[in-house]
Amino acid sequence: MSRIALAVLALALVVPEVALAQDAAASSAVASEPRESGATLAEPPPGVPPRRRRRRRRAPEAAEQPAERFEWDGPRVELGWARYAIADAWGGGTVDTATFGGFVPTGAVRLGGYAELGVREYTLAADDAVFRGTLLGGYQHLGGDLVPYACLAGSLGLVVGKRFHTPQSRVIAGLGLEAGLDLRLVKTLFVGASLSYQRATMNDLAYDLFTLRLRIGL
Amino acid sequence: MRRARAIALSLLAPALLACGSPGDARYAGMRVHEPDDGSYRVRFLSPPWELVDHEGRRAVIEIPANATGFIDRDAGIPPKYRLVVDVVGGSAASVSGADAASAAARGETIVEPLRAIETDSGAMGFEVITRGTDASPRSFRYVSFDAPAGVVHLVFEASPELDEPEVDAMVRAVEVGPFE
Repeated sequence: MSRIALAVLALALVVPEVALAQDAAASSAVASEPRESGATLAEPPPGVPPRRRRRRRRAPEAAEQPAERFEWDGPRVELGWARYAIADAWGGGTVDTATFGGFVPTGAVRLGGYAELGVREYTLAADDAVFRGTLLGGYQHLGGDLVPYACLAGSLGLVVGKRFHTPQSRVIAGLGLEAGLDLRLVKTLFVGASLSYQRATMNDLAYDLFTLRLRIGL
Repeated sequence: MRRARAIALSLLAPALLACGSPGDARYAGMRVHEPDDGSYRVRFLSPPWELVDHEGRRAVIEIPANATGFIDRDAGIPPKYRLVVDVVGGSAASVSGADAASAAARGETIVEPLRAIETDSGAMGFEVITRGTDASPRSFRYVSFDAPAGVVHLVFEASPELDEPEVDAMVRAVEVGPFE
């Protein structure tokens, strides 16, 4: 009984060592060198049929199919620069703003908006600050690297400045159209340009805002 | 939802298109004060300027001090800007000369000596700019225009400097009557 127990113990100690050695030999280039007995550890002991290496077969259709073409489904986020004029007869003029916008992935329906922060030139004293948000809704023609679009645009914002050293803030609201073009450069990186016209109102006065906007985004 | 949006847009669009006179028109958004006899027109941006008093040919237009947002106006805080317009006798040159000559008597020093000016509408006049003493460091700008009824006399008084583009533009916007 004790002999059987000893034999089992010896087997339990020896088998894992052999398995470890086999693994090491398989991963080592030196393992193929014959030992004194002329066999390697990688080789199976006599009487055991040699293991066949399994080669993973590639699915034939995967190898034959060409790489799937990337289809751009329009912009998601963008940074930009906008220029327009809120020109009045009291020194107010050109507006330059930085814009940040985003779009909902709604396919051909272009739905999104952008916020802008910038400066309005005021020739009689310090410039005004402009904070404005614009919502866009319209159509974009997907299907290539060039995406033209046309949207209805509505905006609401604030022009903050000083007149005669007295802080003034005026609400500006507008409605109009924006049309533009997005060009995909690589992956989803794109550049775009757009022109828009909005009829805006501020302090009960009407303004025609023609805006040029240059954009870059993903 | 679509119907509501369409209705909102159709209501909003004409409202936006219709509202307001062109903002880039000359003197757009400026208020005008003209006395009953039509001897002059003074234009001012409102806000911040407010017509606080007018009687006959005399009018007082002010920009309240910032502190009046927190403190009662009657607390004796002078307005940030004050303009008093009136029609006086004489000629523009003689009135402006008198303004300059009496500066020292009023405790003011002359910052800009007597100089000729012209309004947008072509009215000719003179002005002098002074500054109060250290104890009362207010700026003053005395402007006079010849008019058929006499001399249209404007006296600006302010805490900030008065020799600046916004005040220049306000002076240039003055018109001298009579008007048709």
